[in-house]
Amino acid sequence: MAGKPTSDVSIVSSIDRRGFIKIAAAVVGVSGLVPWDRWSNALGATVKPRTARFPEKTDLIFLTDRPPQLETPLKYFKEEITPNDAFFVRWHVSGIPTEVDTAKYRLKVIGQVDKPLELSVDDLRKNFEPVSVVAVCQCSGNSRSYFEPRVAGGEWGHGAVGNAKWTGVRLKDLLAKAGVKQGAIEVSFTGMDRPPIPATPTFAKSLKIEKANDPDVIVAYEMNGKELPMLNGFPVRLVVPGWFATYWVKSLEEIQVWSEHFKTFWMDKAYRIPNNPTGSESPKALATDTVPISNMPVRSLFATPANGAQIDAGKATSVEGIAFDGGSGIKMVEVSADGGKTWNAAKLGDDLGKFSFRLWTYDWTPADKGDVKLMVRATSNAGEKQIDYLWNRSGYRRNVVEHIDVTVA
Amino acid sequence: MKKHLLITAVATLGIAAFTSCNREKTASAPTAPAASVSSEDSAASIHQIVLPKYSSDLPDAAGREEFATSCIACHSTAYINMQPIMTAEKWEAEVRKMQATYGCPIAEEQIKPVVSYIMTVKEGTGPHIRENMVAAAQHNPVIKMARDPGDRVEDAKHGEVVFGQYCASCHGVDARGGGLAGLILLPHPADLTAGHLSDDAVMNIVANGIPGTGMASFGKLAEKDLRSVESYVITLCPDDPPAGPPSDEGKQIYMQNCINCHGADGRGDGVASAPLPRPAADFHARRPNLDYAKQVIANGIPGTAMPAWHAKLDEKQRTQVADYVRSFFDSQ
Repeated sequence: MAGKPTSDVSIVSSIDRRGFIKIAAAVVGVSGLVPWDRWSNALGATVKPRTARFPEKTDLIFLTDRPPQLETPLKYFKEEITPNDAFFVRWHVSGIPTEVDTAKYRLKVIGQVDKPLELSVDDLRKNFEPVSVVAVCQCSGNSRSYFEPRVAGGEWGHGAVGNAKWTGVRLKDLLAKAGVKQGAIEVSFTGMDRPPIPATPTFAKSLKIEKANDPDVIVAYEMNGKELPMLNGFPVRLVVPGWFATYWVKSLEEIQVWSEHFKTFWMDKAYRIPNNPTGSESPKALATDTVPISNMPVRSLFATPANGAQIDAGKATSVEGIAFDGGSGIKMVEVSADGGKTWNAAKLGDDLGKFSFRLWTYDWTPADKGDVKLMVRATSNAGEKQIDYLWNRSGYRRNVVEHIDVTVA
Repeated sequence: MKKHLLITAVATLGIAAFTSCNREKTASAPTAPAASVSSEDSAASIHQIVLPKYSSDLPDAAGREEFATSCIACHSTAYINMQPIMTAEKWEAEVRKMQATYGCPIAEEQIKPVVSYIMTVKEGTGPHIRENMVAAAQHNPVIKMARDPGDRVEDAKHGEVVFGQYCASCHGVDARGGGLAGLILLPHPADLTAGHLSDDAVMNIVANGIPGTGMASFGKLAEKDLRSVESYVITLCPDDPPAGPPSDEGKQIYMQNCINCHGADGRGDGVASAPLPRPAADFHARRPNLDYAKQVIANGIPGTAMPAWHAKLDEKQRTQVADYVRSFFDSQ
């Protein structure tokens, strides 16, 4: 049963005439006989990922249910904009909001401000200038399952990323309205999610005051022109274009201004990377100097063909995918069909802004039959290039040159 | 193999009865894995989703009870299944991180058994933990129980017969949860002598079952049988109100440790309760007796999200919080 989609698992109970309970479990899904590895089982065979359909979402790759972690299938990366229902989902603690009354909801702006605010979604829509940005939201641990040696954590493939048009208000406008006091150094963000056990650190993030006043940072109440799905942070979430999704606090409830360092596990202990340009370290020599993860490095991913696909020899195949970086935009994408010996420029799609996915396509007509390693690499407008190898203990910030294996037949 | 298809659980005291509201939500899409609700009777300003629920089939192996009262309070077993293959040392480090960093109340002596269990059921070659989606709750109407006391006595007599026919196989003839058919179930079948339930709570459970557990829906039974078995179950544990008001300490411990699942008012409606296969206990619908409440707080309820607290709360504190949760019940 391993690997079949599990969209309709059900358990049916009934009582037979003799009064015994019969429990029939119609189980589709992960086999109980092999350890579930997202990409291969214990015997090394490729296992098709399990999928699930959660509220307001389409079929997504299932990692976990409580709290939910759902991954976007790569086929969606043939388009610039990731549909709301296909956008990946990741929560840290299992007490996630499932019901929000917007008549009662208030976003608080408190702390070191002259005038604390309590704002409804209507207040945000009517009393502040609306702004929109197309921006990539990528989990810090996207592609973690490709780390070698493997690391524990959310075992994402490449689909913990999406691109959407976010509409909302500038964070700096909210802070200005509240009036930030002299001496403020940080701003913290807390959502509605809570851990089952209160001793677990409640999820919270912070930005330095300078970053909080970056005009690109917004509090978004719309995603692709619609309300946010609950699982993506309804009613509002923070959007920090160019930075990893860990800062994009969902179901945002409280913004607090601090004149001292805001202490939280989620900045001080978690989501940290080695303090060097690529965030890399060796399993044998773990870095002692670490910093909070922040901006996204340049990377590129294949959307099609799928890894392991069979390609017709002598026919044109469209190799497609996405590229993005931390906010300079994409200058060039190159594809190699010979394992990295030679590289060919891919055609870039429309430019939707420096924080957006940039589609790329490469028309490939393989002449010879056999196994081929297709590789892709991107260069940003800032001149940043992808790297060949990266490892760190938490499986963060992967931006190595990716490849897929296809068979030409 | 059949053993591993039986997930299940039975109404253990201390586990929530479903509020009618919850049943309506989960019943809204019995076949669909998940539903987004645009309920006609809810205000237009309310945005609500109903998460799909999953429960885990935990193969029998050493450390199962420790695992079942330590890990699944906070996260589902999918978290464990998706990890790469790891050594016992690495798993122990993970468990200790849960204890030290994430506040898991796991006791020192539970750590090795938990690691041993994971090594057996995840990294071993035998049966593995499997997660299954829980079917939506049944939605049989609940029979209102307002009846004359004399009728109830008569009903209870017939109810004992019905109980023997349908319930005793799991709950045991003495209703203490030790029936042969229930031995492999996790959570274990409820000890029905360990706490008092409201009429509606019993009727909800009997008529609609408890999704994700071995407690099936008996809603198709004749109304007389349903009424009778309800009357009988109520007699198994008469209400046992606390002698006096609970201590402030009990309330404080509750607020510090319990509210995110059981809710500030003990209704089982804390923010972390909604995603559970079964919501946390609603103490307005049930009053566990003192010994049982203390036992559950100390040891958890294996196979549910109720963890063991004996490493975090000493016996005095456990008694105080037991007194407190016993103070919520709405006496009839």
